[in-house]
Amino acid sequence: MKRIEVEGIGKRYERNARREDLLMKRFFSAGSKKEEFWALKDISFQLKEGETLGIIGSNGSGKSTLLKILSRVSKPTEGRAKLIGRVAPLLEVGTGFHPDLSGRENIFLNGTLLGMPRASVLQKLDEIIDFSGIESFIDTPVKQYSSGMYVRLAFAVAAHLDSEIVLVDEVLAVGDLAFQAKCLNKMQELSQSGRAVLLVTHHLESLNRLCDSALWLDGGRMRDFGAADAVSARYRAEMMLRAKEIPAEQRSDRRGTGDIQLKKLQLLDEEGKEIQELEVGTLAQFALHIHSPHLQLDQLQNLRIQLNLFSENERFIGCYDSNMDLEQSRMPLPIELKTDLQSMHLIPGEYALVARLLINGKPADRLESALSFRVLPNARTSEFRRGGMHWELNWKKSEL
Amino acid sequence: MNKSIHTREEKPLERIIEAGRSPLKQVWVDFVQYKDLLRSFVHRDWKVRYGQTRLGWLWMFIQPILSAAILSLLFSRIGSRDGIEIPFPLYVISGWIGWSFFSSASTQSSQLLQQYQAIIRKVFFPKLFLPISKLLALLPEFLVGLFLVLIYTLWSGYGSWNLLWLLLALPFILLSSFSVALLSFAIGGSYRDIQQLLPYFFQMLFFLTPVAYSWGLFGSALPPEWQFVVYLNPIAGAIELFRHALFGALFPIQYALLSFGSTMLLLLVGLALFRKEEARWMDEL
Repeated sequence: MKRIEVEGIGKRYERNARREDLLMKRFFSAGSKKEEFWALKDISFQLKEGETLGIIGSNGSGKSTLLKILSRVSKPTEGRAKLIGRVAPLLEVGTGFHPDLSGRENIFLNGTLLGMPRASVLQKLDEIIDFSGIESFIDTPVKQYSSGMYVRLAFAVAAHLDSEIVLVDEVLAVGDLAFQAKCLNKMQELSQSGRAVLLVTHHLESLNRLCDSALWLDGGRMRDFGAADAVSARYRAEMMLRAKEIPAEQRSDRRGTGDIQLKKLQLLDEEGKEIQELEVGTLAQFALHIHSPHLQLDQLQNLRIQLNLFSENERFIGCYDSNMDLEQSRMPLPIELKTDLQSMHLIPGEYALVARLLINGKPADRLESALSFRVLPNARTSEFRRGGMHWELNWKKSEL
Repeated sequence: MNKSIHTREEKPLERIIEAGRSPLKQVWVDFVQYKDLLRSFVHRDWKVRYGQTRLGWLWMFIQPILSAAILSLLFSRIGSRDGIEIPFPLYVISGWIGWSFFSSASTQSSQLLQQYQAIIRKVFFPKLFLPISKLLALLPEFLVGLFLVLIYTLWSGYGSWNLLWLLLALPFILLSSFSVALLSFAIGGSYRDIQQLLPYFFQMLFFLTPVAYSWGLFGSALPPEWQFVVYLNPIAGAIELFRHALFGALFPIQYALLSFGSTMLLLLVGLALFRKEEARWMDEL
């Protein structure tokens, strides 16, 4: 039985059309022209009961807009969607929680906010409290909760709604590992019990594990639609390609003043050869070319280079920052800079760098996916997937 | 494994999502599905108001008693006026409880959208529940005040079959309060300036409402053919009808119909405006 039928959904926004709160502004801007853009265009798909559809795409591709429309927070500009059955939105967890209310009171508030009758919240109360695992704090105001507890409770409420359709946004990225696993299991259980599940995610691993099919959104359009593993493989390949194929200097998707630009960013091995993969703990160095595209500058001072590191699921890992020596030196342009040979201090996984060049503390250039590389496991490490830090510490025997 | 959803006999809920405003049938279906949310909102409202206080929900009783005490102290020296034989404090308090319900509901409703915008951005629910729950949350205070007024009235030797008029007067007070609360919710949500202006507006309206003076006094200041203007104010007729129920004929009752008419008009305007603004809020919040 069909649960979701989406036909040609499109959503147009007017840029700068944020609420005009001031009467004056509204009167005076009546004639001004507004820039329009389509956050979604020509989206069509169907979802049957017992199926799970994953939606992937980079930031700004329209994933959240689609979910907002299906959960009726927002209206489409064109097209039509039909939802058959009750809808449980597991959007941002904890929405509608009130800090002064106790956990128990918030379960009722949250449950009814998601459209559940009070009686069925009451009926499931024990199950919800049990699932959340915070029984002993259930009568404490939630403002005293840790963020982990907060999330547990919120997921527990949403996961126990009576519904035929479940809409999920990124909830899996929260909580500790044990609770994440519990959430994954619960989601699997939901789809096996005949619900239609729609999951928006950055996390290709959970996409492959949970979803039958996947929809790839790119700039608000449907880029790819098909079996989850096939779509996610093509998606991953393209994301890596974007960073590798297009030379940094030809990319236009950058921000900053533009006084200087990153022309090239490379990872080099000990022999100075460019690499895309390296083993845990091996030494490598970054090399980077900076030029001034319109020749505004011929020399450079107070430069700071920040390489922000993200794992494959676009989670922020940390920052490779430059030190004061660089800021104090005066340099001619264009220039090539290299770091020392050193360990990257990363566990196995895929990584991407966002490069930021700052002059006098002001961002001059910012480039997403300026470089991506893979860290391979060695004999001593296992195959991690999520990305993170790895440090080998020196331990010395101390005399007692 | 939960198989119950396959064997459900009732026809499953079907929702169409399209551009434009939701059809009224859809609005009704949502009302029914979300009805228990009203209770949660009222509860939340009380918790926000009384949560940090020592006395908690007792304030719901203390506040009307306090304002009754202050008003009777203030007006106890002033005897009957313009031929009214009712103790003046009683006269004032009987007007005050309706007025304070009306003005609190209206001013507080103008801020509702801002207070709930974090939720509105993330979850769908019937937005009309916000002003309705605001009214419900203020109701206990009003009822306590009503109770005090009734006791005072009976103690002063008034009250007769005339009290049956309460069956009309009380819903009238609720309805006129709702009509203006809805309007200020819809306008205040979209134009924050209105939120700044509203307290002054209600201060002015207070003096145009027969709370601390009688119709006779006000009526004598206006030429007879212009007296009806006072009762274009929706709450004015509701308050006078309420007094009519307590004390018997004091003012030309047909003027209450005028207030009722403007209440209905404001209600329709409020609903239409709300439907229009709601569509904007979805994208602009």
